[in-house]
Amino acid sequence: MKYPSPIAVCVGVVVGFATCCVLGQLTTRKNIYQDFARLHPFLEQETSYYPTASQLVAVAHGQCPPASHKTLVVLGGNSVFNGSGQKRDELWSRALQEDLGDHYHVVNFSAPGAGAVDNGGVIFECLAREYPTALFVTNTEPGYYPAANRSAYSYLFWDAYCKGLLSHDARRTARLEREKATSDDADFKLSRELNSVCYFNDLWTYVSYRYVSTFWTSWLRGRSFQPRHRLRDWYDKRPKVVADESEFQKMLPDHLEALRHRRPVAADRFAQNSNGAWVQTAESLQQDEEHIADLLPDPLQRRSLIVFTPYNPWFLAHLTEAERTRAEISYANGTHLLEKAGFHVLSTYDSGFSPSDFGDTVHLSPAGGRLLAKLVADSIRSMDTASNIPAGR
Amino acid sequence: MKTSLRILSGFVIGIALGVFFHYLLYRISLPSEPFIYFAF
Repeated sequence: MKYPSPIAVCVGVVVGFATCCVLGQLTTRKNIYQDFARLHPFLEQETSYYPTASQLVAVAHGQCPPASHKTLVVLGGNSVFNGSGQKRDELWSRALQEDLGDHYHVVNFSAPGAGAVDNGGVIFECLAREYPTALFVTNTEPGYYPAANRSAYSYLFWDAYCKGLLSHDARRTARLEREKATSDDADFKLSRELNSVCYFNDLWTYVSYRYVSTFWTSWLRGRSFQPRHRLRDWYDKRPKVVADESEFQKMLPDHLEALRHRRPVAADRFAQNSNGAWVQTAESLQQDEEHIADLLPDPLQRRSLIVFTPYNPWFLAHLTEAERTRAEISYANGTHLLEKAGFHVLSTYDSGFSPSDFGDTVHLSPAGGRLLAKLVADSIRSMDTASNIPAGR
Repeated sequence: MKTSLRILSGFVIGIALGVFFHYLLYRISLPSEPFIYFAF
């Protein structure tokens, strides 16, 4: 036999590629994640797994269809809201669901190292019009307000943006245009634009979850090629969090040093006035205000609750008086600036958390998670959902 | 018969290449290191 027909090869390439594009698009229409509770390390970027915006939107659709008439509560935020250290059954967002009851449905899209509107904020914006009573609840620490396109999870923002899942916001469009000149992620955005047509990220992420993962990662080693749905929540096999002073003592001095460098505590955003009292500088307040304005488009701020999660009082007691004062000022200023921008705010700096509520400096033990769930549930119930206005597209 | 085989084998090879190219785009789009390792 001679060589295969070149025309048939070309036709086959087009058919094979186009079929993959169609299959990729089809996978975005259903919730592929069985019994989804959170983005644990096997379902996020630490193990080179990047769920797409469409796939996370489908999780919300699957778990809480719009016709259910439940109030959808989309959680964002960092590892504290992600329940770092808490096993699946101990997860604070499960306690929140129980506390809120059947009228609400809580879905947790928080992720380690995420900013206030990464992941959860992006998905909330995608869903805001379809779910006019949906609420967004996230956590951060005062002074850390990166826009969703300027963070470690910017890939998800661009995925949603390029697919046209986000609402039209003239302010954001103008900002993205301005940033284009100085941006160094043009190749990255190009790949997401290509994906919005070819759906390769959607298809192969689905294949990794359902059938076979296609590359080796140092986290998973021998289990790298197993389909992700077979890997249970990473925290389930971790040792239980021991919340006592002897454990905290072992964390000194590294954790204390890290706490000293956190934005609310570090001195570089503060100055001492003529009386010697610490005040946040006008420049850093202005910067915070500008960053807060870029978090979410109008009018989604009114449907959003930002929680300033607490620090372990055992570690706070090891700080100097000046450091504690700066932290208190940061929490107060952050609350004021966010409320001024239209957000609901829950500051838990002084909400009765004790050392046994923590696993380290910031992450909560199961008991701390339950206390957080109660405080957040009370705030959610007190939010005025009657004033919700769907975002325009 | 031989012509049909040439066309069929060519088509199958083409499909495999098309699928591989689609997968390649996915792999190229992934960062070599997670973004959070750069951010923190």
